[in-house]
Amino acid sequence: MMASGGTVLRGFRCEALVGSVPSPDARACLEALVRTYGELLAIYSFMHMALKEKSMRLLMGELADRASEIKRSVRHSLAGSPVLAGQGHALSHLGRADCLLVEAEEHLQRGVLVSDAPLLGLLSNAAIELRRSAAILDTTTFDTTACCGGSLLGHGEEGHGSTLDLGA
Amino acid sequence: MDMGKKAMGAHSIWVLEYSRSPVHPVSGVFYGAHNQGTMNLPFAYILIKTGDAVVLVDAGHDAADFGGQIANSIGVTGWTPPDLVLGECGIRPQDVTHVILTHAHFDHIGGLKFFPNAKIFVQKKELESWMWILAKGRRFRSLQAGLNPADILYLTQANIEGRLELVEGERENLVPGIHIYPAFDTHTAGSQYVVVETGGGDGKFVLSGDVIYTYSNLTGEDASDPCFVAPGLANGSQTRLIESAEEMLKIVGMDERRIVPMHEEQLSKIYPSRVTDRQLMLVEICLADGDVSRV
Repeated sequence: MMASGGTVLRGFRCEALVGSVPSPDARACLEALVRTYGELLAIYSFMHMALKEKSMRLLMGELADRASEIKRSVRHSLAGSPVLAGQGHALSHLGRADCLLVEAEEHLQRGVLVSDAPLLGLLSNAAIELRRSAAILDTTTFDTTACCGGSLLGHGEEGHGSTLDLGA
Repeated sequence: MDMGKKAMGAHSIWVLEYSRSPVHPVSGVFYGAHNQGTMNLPFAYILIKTGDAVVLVDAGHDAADFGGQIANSIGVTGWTPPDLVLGECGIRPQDVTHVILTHAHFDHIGGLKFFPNAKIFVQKKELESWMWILAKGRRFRSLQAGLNPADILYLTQANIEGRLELVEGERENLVPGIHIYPAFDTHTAGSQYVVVETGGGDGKFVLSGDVIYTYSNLTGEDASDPCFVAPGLANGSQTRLIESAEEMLKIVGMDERRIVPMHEEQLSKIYPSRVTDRQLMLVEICLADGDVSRV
């Protein structure tokens, strides 16, 4: 994750939702990162819920494994993406989200929560940072290509017959 | 029964459109209906007023949050905030005491934050299935369709506040006369639907969630020779969707008009309705004794 890559921006604070991402390659890379962190956020949120709901704990290990896999893939894409150099604004928000998620993971790894508030605060703030990154990039924080026929729209769902002519 | 005459009883029920997609693929609504263009699809939630309880079936989405971005990406327009939508029935969001989530797609769960005093009811299996899907990884991402990570975070918060109840299977009389039944492995793994007993001698209404999108899922558009056509967008099986549709029909004595699909545009032709100032449809399914019509 960014935390281990030396680009931690622990003190970063910014409310602005502007910034340009001139390179298409950089944009694609940043969008993928936003969505990857979105997935990580969902996994950590579920892991938090599972800590509270005993019957859900069976899936904790699998979720933790998936989280590790995601972190490895983030490291890999950052290492292999020189196009991100100089793509400051959205990347800064992602860096902040990364820091928050690293801290959230530390709480989750302890397995027992004295209080829910710190972990919930970290996850909530990570969600805010992700939302800002997504707004700057004008993208979604999660992969929506399969959502509600979105992929069909992308391919132009044109009319070629009656509504319920199912070919049967 | 003439649905234009209101069934008097203990519950008032309204279907409240809050947004719509004018370009929803027909194939998302009808299994196998490929290359048949797009259709108008209302996005709505259902308000039930009964005694001291104000029950909402599903919560819509939040256009200002991730859910709004998902909605934009699939052509949803005209989002209207819950204070204005519920205001048409004299209800404020903070008055809502119960939110029953038929399933966890963004357009049903994403507006939860607007109802800070409501207790939330969702099938435990629904959330466990999302956990499983997320754990399986990228190759399974088509099963993540409609999931918004921010919604899961909100559920976590509600759980901490003691406002989330994970339902396991049936729950009768959640509120007197309002029952929850599971429809597992249908639209989603842990979908559920709601049955309301009007108490007025006119039987029951079924609020189907997305197990049934439109009446054509029940009839195939030929009332004289009806044929089940399962919704196209589903994580579960077509067979389970049809079995659940039959189950719902039996509950309402095979009178499909007593099934209330919240994405059905034709509801306004069956029940009294009006278009609000914001061009949203408000449909009055039934009125409790002494309640005032909003249409």
